[in-house]
Amino acid sequence: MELNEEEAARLREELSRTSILDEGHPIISGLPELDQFLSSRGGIRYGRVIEWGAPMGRCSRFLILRFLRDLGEAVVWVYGQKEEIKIYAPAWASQGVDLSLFYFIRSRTPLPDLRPLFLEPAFRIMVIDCPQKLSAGDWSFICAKARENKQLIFVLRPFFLSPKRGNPLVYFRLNCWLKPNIGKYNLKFLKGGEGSIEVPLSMVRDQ
Amino acid sequence: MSVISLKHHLKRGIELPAFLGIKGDFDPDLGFEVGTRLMRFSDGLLLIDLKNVLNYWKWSAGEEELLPFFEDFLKKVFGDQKFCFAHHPFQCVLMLENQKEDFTCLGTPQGDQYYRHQSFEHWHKLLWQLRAHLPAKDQSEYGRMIGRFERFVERMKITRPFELSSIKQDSLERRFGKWLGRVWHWSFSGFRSGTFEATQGDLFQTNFDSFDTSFPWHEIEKGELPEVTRFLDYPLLEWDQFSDFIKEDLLKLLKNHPELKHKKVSRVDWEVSLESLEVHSCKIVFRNPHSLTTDAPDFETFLFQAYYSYLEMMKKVESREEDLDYPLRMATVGWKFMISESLRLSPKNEDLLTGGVSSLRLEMENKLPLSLDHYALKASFFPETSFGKSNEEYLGEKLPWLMASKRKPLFIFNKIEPLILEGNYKRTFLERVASLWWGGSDPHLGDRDYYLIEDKEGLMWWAFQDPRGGWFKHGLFS
Repeated sequence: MELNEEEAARLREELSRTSILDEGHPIISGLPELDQFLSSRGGIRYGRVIEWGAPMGRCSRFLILRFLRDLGEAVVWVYGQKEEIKIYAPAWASQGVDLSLFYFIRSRTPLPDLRPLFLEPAFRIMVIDCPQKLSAGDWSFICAKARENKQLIFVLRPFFLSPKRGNPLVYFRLNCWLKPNIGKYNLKFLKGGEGSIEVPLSMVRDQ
Repeated sequence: MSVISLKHHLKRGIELPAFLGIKGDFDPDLGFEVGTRLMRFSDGLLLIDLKNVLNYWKWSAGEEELLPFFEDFLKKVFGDQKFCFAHHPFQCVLMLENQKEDFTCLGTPQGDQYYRHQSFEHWHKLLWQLRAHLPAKDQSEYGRMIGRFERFVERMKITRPFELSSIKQDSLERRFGKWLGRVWHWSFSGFRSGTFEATQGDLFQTNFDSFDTSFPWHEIEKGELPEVTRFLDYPLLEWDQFSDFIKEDLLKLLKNHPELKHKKVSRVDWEVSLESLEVHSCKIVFRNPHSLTTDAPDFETFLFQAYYSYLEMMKKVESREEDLDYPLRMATVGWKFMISESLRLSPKNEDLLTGGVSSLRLEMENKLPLSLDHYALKASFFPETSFGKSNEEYLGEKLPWLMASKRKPLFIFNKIEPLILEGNYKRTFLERVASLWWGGSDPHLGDRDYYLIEDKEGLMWWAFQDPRGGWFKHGLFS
């Protein structure tokens, strides 16, 4: 089937809009060892969805914030933990977060509650923290929109991810937790290149 | 060297007041270029409620400081009049009664200083003016009470209301009736007792609470409101069927009311007629003024808000039949849209409100059913009082003790609950927090010793021990 000029132009535009080639620079944490480890696996880039196994009580969010704090871009953090909690802003600011760039929404069911957030690139960075349930359809919607709108979406699960059940739609699947007895963060990759890396707590907290 | 203007510099932790009073000779209709809710208190004194448009103006000001921006803009719109920002409409009225300056704002050192020096002479005059706005049944009693209050003030030889500001509302109500009690509350609401003397220290400590909504706010006449009505040929059940009709109606509304091109809507009243012939009111409220013209022809934002509002109304309607074995789903047979609140764009602000404002973010806020929260820090050691929902001032690293927060959790519990420590656990002392007893702080915020508690499962809690030895969990390291 041959396309006329108008159709070809429209197709080119559509392909460029959803292209995975133009992803820009990787997003870094400022921790050299970790950044090197990630870049050898393709890095964290706009247009990708990363699934983190980050149970509460294990300090993983401190490490995750390292990727977001220096971007100078507005971030929307949707938190849906089952515990009755609220944001404690001084702790975020002490992690180097510019509070004027961080927006928070309390929602246990970001889909369908916050559908407009995914439909437009008003926020290029989103963190979906502890959503109640994400169906296969939800995942497919989130990933398609992230690619289309060039958004970076972190989905944080309140449990450790298991290699038994995969997620073909996300770029990285990893578990992240702090081992307090040795003072090191452990990142174990289940998808996007297997392996694990340890990062000293002092580097995450004090640098 | 940077110079701080005493009339433009809001004190730390104080947000821009949400009420604006304008006094002078001008067309009150111009007020719709600044806000959507207006009240005419007396001839030449207009009150504007800016709560629902404040966010919008903040975005409009962009990088510019908000108060100089407003002063400049208001002068462009109204000419040389007297302007005053305050936390309560009655405070605007009080300030403007005797205001010498063109522009004042409560919450700034200058504004607070002027406000403290208001005399009873002006106050009495305004008490009589307020009488006209009260319900008719209360007016004669209120008049009598003013007389009694005047005699009391004369006998006590008091010249300024602030000298009596430590009197509580209920004490005043008992002696002088409910309305004088309320007026008292409106006037001083939020000021800490015993800190009113004009000393250097307290210039930066004045704090306002949210105002009492009992103020008799009477909306200014708006004339005929743009509206559109639809009678459906067949009843509708599913939302998907609604959208095409709603789009059609809104296009019709825009066509019949071309003035809407120069307006941003903040509230639409939607009366929905159900099959049972009941009429239910749904309110479509936009967090930021919203342009229907820009939203056309898809009206995506409008449809999102209409959907949330419709769902809420239907939930209430259907909950009445929860107990039935076969609850009926109520179909819709017609509706009426009425634009009840809108902000008018004049040539003076039109260029400023298009393009320059980051409309994408504002639009997103309008599309969401939940609010996007934004936080700012406050100068306090106590976790509960060290931050608030605001986007006024980013203190960030300016707070010297912020380093201590590096070992605090990102989330804290809404409610502090006792922590039962059993079995093996490890605890690490973090810091001791003492109450601001010299500042009359909340006695519930007593001294605390904060610890990081690691339980046998490796979970890390942020907990404190009170002076009586009780353990409480306050946060979970996440």
